Amino acid sequence: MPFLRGVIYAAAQQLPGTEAFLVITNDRWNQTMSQIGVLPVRRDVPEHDTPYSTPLPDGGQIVASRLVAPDIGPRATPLLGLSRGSATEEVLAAVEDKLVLFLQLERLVAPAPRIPRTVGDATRYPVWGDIYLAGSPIDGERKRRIVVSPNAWNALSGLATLVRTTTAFKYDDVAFPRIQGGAARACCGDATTMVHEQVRLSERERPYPRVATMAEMALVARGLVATHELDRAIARLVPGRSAPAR
Amino acid sequence: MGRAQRQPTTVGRVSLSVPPEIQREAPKHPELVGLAKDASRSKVLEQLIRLGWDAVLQAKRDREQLAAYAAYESDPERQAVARADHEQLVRGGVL
Repeated sequence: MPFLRGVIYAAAQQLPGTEAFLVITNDRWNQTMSQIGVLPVRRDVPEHDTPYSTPLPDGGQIVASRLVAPDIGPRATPLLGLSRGSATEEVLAAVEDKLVLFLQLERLVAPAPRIPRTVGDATRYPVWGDIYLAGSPIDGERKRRIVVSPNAWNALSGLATLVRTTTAFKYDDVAFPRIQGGAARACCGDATTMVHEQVRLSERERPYPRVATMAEMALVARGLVATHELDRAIARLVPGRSAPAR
Repeated sequence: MGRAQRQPTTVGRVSLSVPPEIQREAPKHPELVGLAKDASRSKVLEQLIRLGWDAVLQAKRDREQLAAYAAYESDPERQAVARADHEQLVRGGVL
């Protein structure tokens, strides 16, 4: 039985701050993939996550600024347990809106996207739109990832949300937009949040190119909208924009 | 070079066979195709054609999306990264 979008699942193990998860990737993704996008439900929400949190009627808050992509395959340590039921339409809409605002998608899917490249210190914390080597090494090599979370939050939280890139997978779909002049693709469906220690910040460890262009960030945004089913939120937040067909 | 095909200059009117059950039932339920109760028979049939075409396009998009996701699921690099990311997630810091 696949995990379903909009349903809250209890954490399958004791976690320091998370008691449950809301599934947020689209159901076609969830029924096909062994790695899905979820948002944690927490009792205590740090101040930097408060603007992106949605309270639940029975306590706890869904934190849109901590998007993660656990492996739900049979060999992985389970993180998602039993269903606690579906989030209400109102709660789900609020969560979707906060995820869109957190990832600045409403600005990136505009006809002429423009997000000022703030003067972030790319060696102190991961900077939005920059590319870093991050995560555990696979065959001795860390993967390139693009930062999609906002700089102020990255600086305060000790975390960053990143989208992995690949040169191995070649399939045309909005979920895997071409970047770096077509040399690589971004894997939008498994966007995940990491602690800064997992991101190689030092100058000498930065890959080339170091930044994604604004056009590439707009393509990544469209991929995130598709994989995380955020088209209705875009329609709510961008005046005159109707929800595109999925 | 051949002559360019002539394009219709007015909203298309075509003569076509409509299955009897659709002719009989659809005009009784304009609300099912998103029209007002008093919508004419021709408006209901026109809307049915539009919805049918949308459904065909959506089905094509659905098939393409499923094929892309299935290919990505079986990508060995994705599987290795998913396992490594998951172990990091379980070790802590974010949750």
